Amino acid sequence: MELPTVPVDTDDSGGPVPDGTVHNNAWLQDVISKIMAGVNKRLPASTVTGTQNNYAPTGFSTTAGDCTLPWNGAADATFTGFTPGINGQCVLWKNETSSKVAYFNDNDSGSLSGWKFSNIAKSGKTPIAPGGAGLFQYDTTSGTGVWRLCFHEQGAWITPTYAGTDWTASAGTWTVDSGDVIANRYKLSGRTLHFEIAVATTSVSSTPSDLKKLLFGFTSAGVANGNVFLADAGGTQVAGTMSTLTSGTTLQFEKLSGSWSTATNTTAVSAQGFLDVT
Amino acid sequence: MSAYQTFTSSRGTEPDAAALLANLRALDATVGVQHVPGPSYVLKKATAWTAPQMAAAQTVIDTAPASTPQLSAQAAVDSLPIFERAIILALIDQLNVIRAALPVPLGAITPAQAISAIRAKAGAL
Repeated sequence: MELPTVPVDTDDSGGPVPDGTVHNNAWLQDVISKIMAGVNKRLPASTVTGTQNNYAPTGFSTTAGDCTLPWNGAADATFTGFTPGINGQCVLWKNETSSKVAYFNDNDSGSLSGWKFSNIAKSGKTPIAPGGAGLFQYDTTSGTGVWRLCFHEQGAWITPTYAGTDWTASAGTWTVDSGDVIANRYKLSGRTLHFEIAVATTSVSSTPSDLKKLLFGFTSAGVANGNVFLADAGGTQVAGTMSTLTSGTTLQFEKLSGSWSTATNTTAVSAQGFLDVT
Repeated sequence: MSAYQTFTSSRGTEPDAAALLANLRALDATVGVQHVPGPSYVLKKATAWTAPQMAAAQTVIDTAPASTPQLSAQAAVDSLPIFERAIILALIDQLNVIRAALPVPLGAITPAQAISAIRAKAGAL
């Protein structure tokens, strides 16, 4: 930090000290350097992966002040808590990887009391993807301290690993093979879950009223409705609806009228939207 | 085990989706299509693709009729929702009453004939 050369009075000589003297600038520089060392400090990059309980970041302590904690793991990581701070202390977690995701679990029993996170969205893991960041502030106002997530920007959208069990039907089965998935991704901002889902060449075994897709591990805060485009058993692409129920964990896709037809590799659904999650 | 195959077509028009699917399923009853406007088509079917099947599918993609308002309208007629079919067929019922009461009665128009006529009209507009 560059200091301005402003005349100051010493407390023992009774007169102004000339600008740029060692007495003037070096002393102030030393003081400010000590202050800056504890403010906006960038900790050594964390490279941990996998599940991290009671995580103790290198260089972090209650005397570290507000700081930035870059994460640059070679694989995804899930944090359940980290070293307690002091009331009001802030840590900015930044994802500096190119493709990996750090997840933060809310109030997870994997970490000790006082080490845990209190996230904005609590029903699922809060992700910080490449380019994203989360600002946690240590909060002891309710007694036991928690790392309270005050700001969250996920960064890049996340495409979860394919799982056939994510796709179901109200009757029979909805078979969505991995090659049928054109898009299946989401982005969480605070409590707003944005998503994009597009599948084609899927199969339906019965005549269900709803086709269902898991809500990326989150729970809906209320009833939500939206529009989809669909092609039922190879039919013309038409509009349909999607909905979630209060406390619902799935998106439900419905035709405007009637049930879905049985189909072999000819049913398609395309949806984009957002909803409030708990 | 499902098998996917990507095809690229240099055709200058978008194919009619219904005709494309119908023609492909004439080759294999399990074929499905993934396609957004552009040259790429991903076809899925229940069994592995053979070279002759791929060649035949490529021909179908390249030669399927282009999408037109008339073909799209016919596809919509083929999947009319119940309430629209009800409106049409209720009118046909009344028309048949009049036809039967003419001095020289005319035969009844069947539901299939009525829908077929609408489909033909959509294709000719």
